[in-house]
Amino acid sequence: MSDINNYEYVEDDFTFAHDANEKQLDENYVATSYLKDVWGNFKKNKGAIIGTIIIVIITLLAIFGPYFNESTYMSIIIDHASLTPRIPFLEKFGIFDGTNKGTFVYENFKDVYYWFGADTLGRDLFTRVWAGTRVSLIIAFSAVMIDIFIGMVYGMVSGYFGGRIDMLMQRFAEVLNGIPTLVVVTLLGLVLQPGVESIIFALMITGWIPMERIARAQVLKVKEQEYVLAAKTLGAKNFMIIFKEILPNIFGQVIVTSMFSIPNAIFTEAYLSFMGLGVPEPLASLGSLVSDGYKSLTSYPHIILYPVIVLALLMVSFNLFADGLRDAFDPKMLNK
Amino acid sequence: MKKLFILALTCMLALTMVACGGNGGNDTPDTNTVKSVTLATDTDLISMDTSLATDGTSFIALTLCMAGLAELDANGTPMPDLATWTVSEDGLNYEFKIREDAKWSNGTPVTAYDFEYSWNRLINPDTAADYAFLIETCYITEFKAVDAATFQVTMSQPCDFFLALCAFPSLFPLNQEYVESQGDQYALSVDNMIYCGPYVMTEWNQNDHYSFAKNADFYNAAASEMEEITFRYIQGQSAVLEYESGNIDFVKLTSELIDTYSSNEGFNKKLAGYLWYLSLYQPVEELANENVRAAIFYAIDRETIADKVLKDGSVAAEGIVPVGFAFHNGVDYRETQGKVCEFNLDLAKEYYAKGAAELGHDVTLELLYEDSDVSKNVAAYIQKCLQDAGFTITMKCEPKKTRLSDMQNGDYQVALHRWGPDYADPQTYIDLFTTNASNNYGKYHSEEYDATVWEAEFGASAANSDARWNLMLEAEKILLGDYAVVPVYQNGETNLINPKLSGIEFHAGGVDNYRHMKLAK
Amino acid sequence: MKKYLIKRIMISIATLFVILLVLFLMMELMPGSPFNDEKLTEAQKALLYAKYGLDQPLVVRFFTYLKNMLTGDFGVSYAINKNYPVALMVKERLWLSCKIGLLAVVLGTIFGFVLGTVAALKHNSWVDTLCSSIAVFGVSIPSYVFALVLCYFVAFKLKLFPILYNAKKPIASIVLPALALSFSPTASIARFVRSEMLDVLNSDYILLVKAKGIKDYKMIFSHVLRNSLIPVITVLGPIMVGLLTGSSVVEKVFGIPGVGLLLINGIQYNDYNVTISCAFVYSLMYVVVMLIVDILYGFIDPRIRITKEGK
Repeated sequence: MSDINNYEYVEDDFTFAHDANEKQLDENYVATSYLKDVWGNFKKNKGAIIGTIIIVIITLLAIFGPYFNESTYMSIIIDHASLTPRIPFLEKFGIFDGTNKGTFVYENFKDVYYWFGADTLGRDLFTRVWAGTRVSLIIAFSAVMIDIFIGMVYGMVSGYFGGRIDMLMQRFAEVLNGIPTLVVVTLLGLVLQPGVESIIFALMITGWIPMERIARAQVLKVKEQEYVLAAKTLGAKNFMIIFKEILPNIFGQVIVTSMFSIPNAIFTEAYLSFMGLGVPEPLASLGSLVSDGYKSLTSYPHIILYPVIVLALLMVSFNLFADGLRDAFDPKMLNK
Repeated sequence: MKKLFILALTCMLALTMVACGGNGGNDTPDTNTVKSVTLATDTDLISMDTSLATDGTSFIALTLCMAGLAELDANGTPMPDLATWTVSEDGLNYEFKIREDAKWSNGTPVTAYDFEYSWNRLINPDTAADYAFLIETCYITEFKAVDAATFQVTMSQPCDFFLALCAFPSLFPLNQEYVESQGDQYALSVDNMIYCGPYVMTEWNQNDHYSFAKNADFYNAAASEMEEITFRYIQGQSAVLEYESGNIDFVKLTSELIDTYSSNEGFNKKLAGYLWYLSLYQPVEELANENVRAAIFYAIDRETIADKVLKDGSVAAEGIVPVGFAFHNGVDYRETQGKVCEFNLDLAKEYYAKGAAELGHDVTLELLYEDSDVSKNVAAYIQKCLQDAGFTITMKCEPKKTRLSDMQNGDYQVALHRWGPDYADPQTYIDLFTTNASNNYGKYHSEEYDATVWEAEFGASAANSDARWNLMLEAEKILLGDYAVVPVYQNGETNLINPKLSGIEFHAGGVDNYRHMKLAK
Repeated sequence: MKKYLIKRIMISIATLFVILLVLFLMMELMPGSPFNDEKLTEAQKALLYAKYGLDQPLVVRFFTYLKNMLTGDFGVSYAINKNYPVALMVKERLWLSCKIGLLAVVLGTIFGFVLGTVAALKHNSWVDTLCSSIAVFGVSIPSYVFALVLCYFVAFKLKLFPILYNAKKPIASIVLPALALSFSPTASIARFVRSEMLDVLNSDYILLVKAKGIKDYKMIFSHVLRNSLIPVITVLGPIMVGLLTGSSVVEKVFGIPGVGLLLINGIQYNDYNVTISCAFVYSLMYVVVMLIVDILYGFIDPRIRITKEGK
């Protein structure tokens, strides 16, 4: 840097970066609504679109998949135990041909087809995987819905009233947040009878806090703005102000946060199942299917394969979808 | 700042290299010579205190490094160990002579006082030992050390299984001076234990492994081939893979893996003495109905459960007393009694229809089972069986301890339950279902049954071995004739045992004996 | 700053106190009992309850426990390892769990940095897309799925590392678990580094650096990395907390005798003291990490301190 002082200036040291004659033209944009804007941004995000498509496909399969064949998630045909996947037509190409380490395992039941194979009790895995996906999705969505509700109400009340109420409510949330989720969830899973409802309840206990933070922060921001003041002066009730004026403003962020919570909920459910605190037999969830399949990972890897794939796809898709949604709601993030 | 950053990065890299590189996948030098053996255990060691231990894994460890009055031979017959004995003609008095060369690992001799102290400690209420009941069950009225070498036991009536129980760890001796010097630290680690068995414990690394080394001072040290025995606490398929790579010589197979390894050279199935049954809580309206209970009794396809669901060597239960477990004059209880349980779906449907008609509604029951892998599969299949017969079955899964509490509190309908026998006599099972028995969770009540059991245990027939045996047979018929409980299966165990390893002695009605293992080169 | 510090510490202590209370209440509500062995008589059960002080009222037990805990006495195990002091049990396992967690963080930081830097430098190219995809996968897929995959391919098929934890090969045994746990930190750090670096790369002073004609690699090291490093320190905290969660499942998959596995065992055996202690140790680590992170934030960026107080 020392040589700067000795620098000799020449004529073309500084030139115009752009053509000096270039005209600056004003462009007119069509006014678009907020949601249309969001959709426009979202569409541009390839990952988000792929994620959305996968979510839709998986959801449809979760709804209709269990009815594709005659088996139900609990019908046991013990002689069909651990059969490997076999799909008509595809079997001719040497894939999904019902072989296990080279031997054809459908020798005694030539007319039987299990698309994803059968589990150790001879239950159709195709049906069970989609029935399990359904249970996992129900758990995740219910938990997140409840989280949104509790979190929003709590956050808005806390933020709107402020002062001592806010202080108390925030300390409470902070303490609750200090307990590791998994400890709470594990212990609750134990105290309550295992089942879908208790898993939802356990997820609910700690899941609402992020939602609460967003709601409160937004309320604090909006509270002092003129239109709220105007509404107040015009005699609007507290309740009205909270719900009519503030709610629409935090809608976007809440949706984004909840979409991020869904994969979290699915993961926590899977964790509980793996710990043996999942849904009781013969019910299945993605977590319980993975944890069952794990026991025969080395001898019958197909039992764990499909639930793991669905679980992973679902998690990735929800993350992609949520990412896209966040960027769409917040265009500042777009170029990152 | 730049330097700091580079330094930090280098440190991190170095740390990772150390961590990853270390000794990579390299094995430590192969110590697996013919004198040392490594076995997998699927449950961890819980207690090394003879009075407090309650589980099979702990008992096996105790049998290795401690010794009792007797030892079971390969056939399950009690043989002299630290003592020899004489029995009075009426079978009421035993006199044990303690071997002179029996020694504790701290050099003090094992005396009759050590037995007296240990037994007193066992029954002392303050110890709160699970197995305190053993003394009473054997009708023992008095036990005392006459002198250092003589231990006397007196009973109110003869007990066929007493000598076999002398090989049970709860009745092993304890060195009073040592135990008391250790206070509440006794047997908590290898530093707080002394031994009187063929091995001493050298390492106890909780949740991972524990090891034994040969006790050269043991009177019969010549009989122990192994210099070093290690148990590793590893389960499931990963444990089996360790077996395949030759790191361990013995591993238990779970049901899921049996098909894969059934042609393995070391594949070994054996029958254990645990009997799993459905406990029916009779205060529930539906289960008070005998036809409903009969429907459950006939609906269970026990063969399929044993052969196709479990596959691990378990067998369909033929009655409440297991097979190959209790013998009278060399004849198996089950052989005399024959098959009492039967699967008959048509009959089950018939009974169900009758029961439902009497109740005036369809029957919905809740099946309680524990969260172990085995129970889960069996419960799922039982649900299928019962639904085939017409029932609607809801499922309730709980950890074992919770299930037990629920059963003890009468908060269940149908539960998949097991009983682990403590001594090889039908009484250990028959005793469970008398009206006042604390383990009669289902609240079964039959005066005929109570009377029969009482007669066998305390009545005039108690001293007569034949008559007592017949009453035991009679009792099972009454119990199952009332469909009070529904036996399901007797558990088996499938192991992979290194073909070169021999000498593990399995006992359906006692503790498996690992003292005489041999590993050929 | 001092006031803020004191306030944060007070809140942490209060949180820990409440957590302990909550854990205690949960144990109370937990069905089952450590002493319901079928072979025990009612009188023996009562004796056991008395012996371990479980017959006392809840309040008395809580304060006794609190008092003992402050002196380092966490009670004894009832079932897992009869009468063994829980403090020792936890101590023996804690170091192992921490070792694996730390290794995972170190690995995650290195991989994350590399991925993030590459992605930012090759912004909007296929390399960027690839790195970002890897990051999305890492964030989304639970660590135990990675654990299963590593277990199956690396340990079972390729036999490179032991499948199960083996105390005789302590170093080789923790590589796979740490690797499985490191995916998530790798992904979070990569994402963070990428966005931080893009910020820096687009900033005016980098424009100046570029204008001055400094070579690319030199620029990266001396300017861009340094300026994006500081913020990354602040995300390490939450990442470590996240690891706690994954670790218990990964411990189960690899059979590692760590705190997570002990917690699971404690729950299964109704071993109250073990369960409370493990859950509390987890909470303690969590609270302490959160505290450190908050304080670090405060030092690094005074604005956070102020807004935090304001919020």
